[in-house]
Amino acid sequence: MLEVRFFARLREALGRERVRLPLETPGLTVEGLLSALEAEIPGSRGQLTAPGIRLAVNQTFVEDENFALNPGDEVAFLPPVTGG
Amino acid sequence: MTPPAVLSVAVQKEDFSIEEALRRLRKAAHGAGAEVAFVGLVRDQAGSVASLTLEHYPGMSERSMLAVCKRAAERWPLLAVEAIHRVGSLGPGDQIVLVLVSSAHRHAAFEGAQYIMDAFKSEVVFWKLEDRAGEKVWIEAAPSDHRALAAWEGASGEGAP
Repeated sequence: MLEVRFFARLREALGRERVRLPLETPGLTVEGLLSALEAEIPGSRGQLTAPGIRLAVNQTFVEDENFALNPGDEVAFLPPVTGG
Repeated sequence: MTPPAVLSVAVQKEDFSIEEALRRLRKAAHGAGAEVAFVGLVRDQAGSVASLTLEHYPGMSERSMLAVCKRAAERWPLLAVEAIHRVGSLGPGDQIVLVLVSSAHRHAAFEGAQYIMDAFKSEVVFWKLEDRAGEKVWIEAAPSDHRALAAWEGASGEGAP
């Protein structure tokens, strides 16, 4: 299993807060993840690859497109953040 | 040698008391000669903001706040930092964020607090939804916020920018 979470305006745009994807073997690429999500939520690819959207795996930002995802990982797509 | 700074961060729905937080800070910091407190409020822009809803990512938001405080403590000789960020629905005048910094001397405390707030503006994991008379807008860090943080990164050591 892979848990994917969406926050703020991405959550609103996709109409989903989280998606659970079956994942039995390690090594799913970010590209593979985007394809699996597109199958689950048609139109999501454009939203998730829009400028400013960042990926976090297990609550740490990931910039590497070749990052390999493993079963049990918590994946999140984050729109631009601001605090204070 | 300065002992490692005592860093405390929290994300909460409830309002915070600056006095209580200052008591905790003072207990944690030994040898302090200076304390700086910053409180951020929901600004009422001529009555245009009815409410502000703050969203966070439990765990990652706290981690992002702690990372900023750690960087400040590596750069300045801070004794303790206490940062509280609120989430949920807030109205004009409500307190959003508290940053308390203590150090032996005032310059480190002032600069450490300013750096933490500048980094909070564009780096910590929160999102803000503004309700402007019924129109809901997700707001992002302003270019001036990014410039403020970049100025610290371009500068080196104490006394910057």
